[in-house]
Amino acid sequence: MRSETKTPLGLRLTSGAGLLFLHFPIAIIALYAFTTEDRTYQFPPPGLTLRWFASAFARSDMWQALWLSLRVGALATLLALLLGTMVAAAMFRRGFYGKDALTLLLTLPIALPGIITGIALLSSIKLAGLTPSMLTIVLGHATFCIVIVYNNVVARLRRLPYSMVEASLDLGADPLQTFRLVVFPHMATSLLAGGLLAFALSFDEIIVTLFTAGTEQTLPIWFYAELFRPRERPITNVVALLVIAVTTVPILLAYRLTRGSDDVAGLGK
Amino acid sequence: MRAIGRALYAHPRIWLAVLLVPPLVWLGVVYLGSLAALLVQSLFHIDDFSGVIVREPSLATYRQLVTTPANIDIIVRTLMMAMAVTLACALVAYPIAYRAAFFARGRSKAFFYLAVMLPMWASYLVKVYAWRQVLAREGIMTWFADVLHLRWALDGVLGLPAIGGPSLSASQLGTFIVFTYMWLPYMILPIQAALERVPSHLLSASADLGARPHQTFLRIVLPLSLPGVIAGSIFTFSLTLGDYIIPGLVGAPGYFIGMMVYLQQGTAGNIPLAAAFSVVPMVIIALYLAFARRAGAFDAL
Amino acid sequence: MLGPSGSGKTTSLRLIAGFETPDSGSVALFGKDVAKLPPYERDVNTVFQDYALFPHLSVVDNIAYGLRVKGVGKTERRKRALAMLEIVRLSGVEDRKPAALSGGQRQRVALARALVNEPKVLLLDEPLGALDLKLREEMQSELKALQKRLGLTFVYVTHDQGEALSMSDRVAVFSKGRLEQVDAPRELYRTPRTRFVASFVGVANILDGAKLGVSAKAALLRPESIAIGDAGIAARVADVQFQGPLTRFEMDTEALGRLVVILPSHERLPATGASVHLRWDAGAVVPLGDGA
Repeated sequence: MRSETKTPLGLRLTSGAGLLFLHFPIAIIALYAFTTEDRTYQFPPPGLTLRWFASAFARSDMWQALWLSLRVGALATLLALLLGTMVAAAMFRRGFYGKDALTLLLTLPIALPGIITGIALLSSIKLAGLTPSMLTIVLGHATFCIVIVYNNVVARLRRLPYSMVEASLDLGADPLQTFRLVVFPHMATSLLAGGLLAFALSFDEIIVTLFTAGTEQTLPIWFYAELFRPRERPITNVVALLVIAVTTVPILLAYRLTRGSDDVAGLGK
Repeated sequence: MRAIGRALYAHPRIWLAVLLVPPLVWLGVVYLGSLAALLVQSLFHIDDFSGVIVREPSLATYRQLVTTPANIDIIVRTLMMAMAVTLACALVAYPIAYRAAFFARGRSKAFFYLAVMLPMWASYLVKVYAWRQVLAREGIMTWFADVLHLRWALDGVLGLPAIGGPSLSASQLGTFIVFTYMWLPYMILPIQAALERVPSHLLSASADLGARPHQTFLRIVLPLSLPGVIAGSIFTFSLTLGDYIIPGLVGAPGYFIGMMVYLQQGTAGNIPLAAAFSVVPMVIIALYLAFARRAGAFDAL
Repeated sequence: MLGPSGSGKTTSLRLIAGFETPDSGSVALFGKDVAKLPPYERDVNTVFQDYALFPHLSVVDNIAYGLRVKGVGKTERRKRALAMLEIVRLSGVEDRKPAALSGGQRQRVALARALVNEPKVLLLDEPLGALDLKLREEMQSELKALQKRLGLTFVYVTHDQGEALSMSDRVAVFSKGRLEQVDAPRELYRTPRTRFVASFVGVANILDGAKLGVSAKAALLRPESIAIGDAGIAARVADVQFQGPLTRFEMDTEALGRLVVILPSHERLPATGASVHLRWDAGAVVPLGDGA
């Protein structure tokens, strides 16, 4: 039953078509980055050119947006690593009062639509009298990045038998030494994977960011504004290719780091 | 250091508190606090004459929400879309998840996994933009219809009321296609996870007891994978209800809940109405989560 | 410490190790109350049931872990770890990861890791439970020899009464969270004080005391102290089980109901359905208390 050679034809066709559907728009992006037509999405393209790459790289506003996105991503990831690890470590302990409620709280930022997170944060930013800035963007991103890191780390810790901790204590290590020498090495790669995913998520986020950014432009916001420009559309495609390249690397790395263990499921967005 | 360690060991609650307070402050104050602030704002209302927000709790905004026919239209349109998208995602996702769970091993397993993961993580905006190009009137879908001499069929579909429009990229059908595309991986992964938890000896047992393959599927595999489908549908539902970018970039005129929230808080400056609108998906998802919990879908998340 | 699962023997071990704190009472280690001390400040070490070897450390690093956290230098701790590896007769695998070892080898590493710290007491929680029978018997005699050589107190948790009897100097029998009896194996077997100990240790006929002429309500008659003779109480052989050197009989009697009798296989033995007479020395009857 379970072998690739005996996959039924009907299943091959339906799943194959589904996978094709998943990948074909990404190929289109690549194609249109080279088209000579810059106002419509004419297919097939009337001609091919490389000049959009030069035009895209000459746009200083694009570089500024990219730089902001990188800084936001780095800050949000750092915060998420710190806070996400703390929650995961607390959850590693056997049951305590309120554990279930905490689990629910940790699923909320991904279970509720992003727009709710966005508008909720915006209204409290206004309430607190803050001006939307890079800091408020980081505030929003860290909120859902915590969940990503937590999911990764907690999945790994679940596979660390508690007897390891007891063995360490028994052999004379105090709790801090036990964390440093036993628990941390065990979760290190999942922490790294969680951080990479959190960064990729932050780098691409727009739904929440549009609410919390004020007048700041992250790369996705720059991209969004660009979509409404009538001319030089292929520049958008060039940047799109760039963005895909930048996010694919951390995803592949995260996959390598968690491969062969059951916590790859934590890689879901 | 030794003293700290000893204190921590003797008082595990303190240790727990040290670990939990910063993230709890973050999630509890920043996140839950914001949600609470939002709910409070939905109880305010805008004064019709002056346009100023009246900070007195009342249900006036909710009354406005449910008595304006245009608002009801928006809610119904969004819900219908969410249901259609969820159904389509489940149908397209199932064969992929099934093949990945039961027929892929080793290298092909990794291939399936990455084939789902990479499009999932590819930039959100880039994907929507790609579909705008694909579905445009002069784009590849039209070209494809011409090549296959099926232009009449495409025009026929676009001529249909409610789902049609001047081109695929300006029709409800287009919005539907893009939503389905965007959330498809969120449906594949939980279904695959649920299917992988079906022990293979159950399938052998079913076959041994005389069930034909389709009977085994309908009576064993499908019921056992249902929690995965429900878990996936939480994502597809929630994501559709809250999206405000996709229908703005690909689709016919006519607002969705997410767009109304964005518009009302932005250009219209009616924060109370925006807040009230955002309560709608919250309520729907809360109801849905309660249902999913009873169906045991949380283990598959 | 011997008892069925859930009888409290592992909890007692964890109290000694420091993983649990007693609600009341004390834990005395060579006269010193250690109940308030965390596990890392107690001079005891544990061999865990699942061995709990650190998967990310090599064998030698696992063994040297306790020395490392005490601040012993790198060369010194490697030297001592290797020496300990030799004592448990496992030289040559020091740079492997635990995952690359067999069950028996892991067991030895767990043992070495605990012993290298020179604990005053070594705690073992069903250490042989995961091994197959042959390896288990081999390790039993090896552990016993090691204990003699090191002159160390081993506190050994097991649910296997054979293991407890053959390895221990003193056995503590647990039942339902209570200590039933603490005694040398021989005394435990010969003169169990309660009904529970009598039936848990060895095979027992527990009979009505009055019918055997003792004042206690219940009395024990070990199957091997019953002999077949020409006189005595009449019995019929209900079942015969050949067990190698010994043969086990189920005998039905009028007066005492069903009795288990165990006889050496080389004797002339009755077949199923045969009528025989059973007898025993009055001294073989042990009166039993009810216990807790």
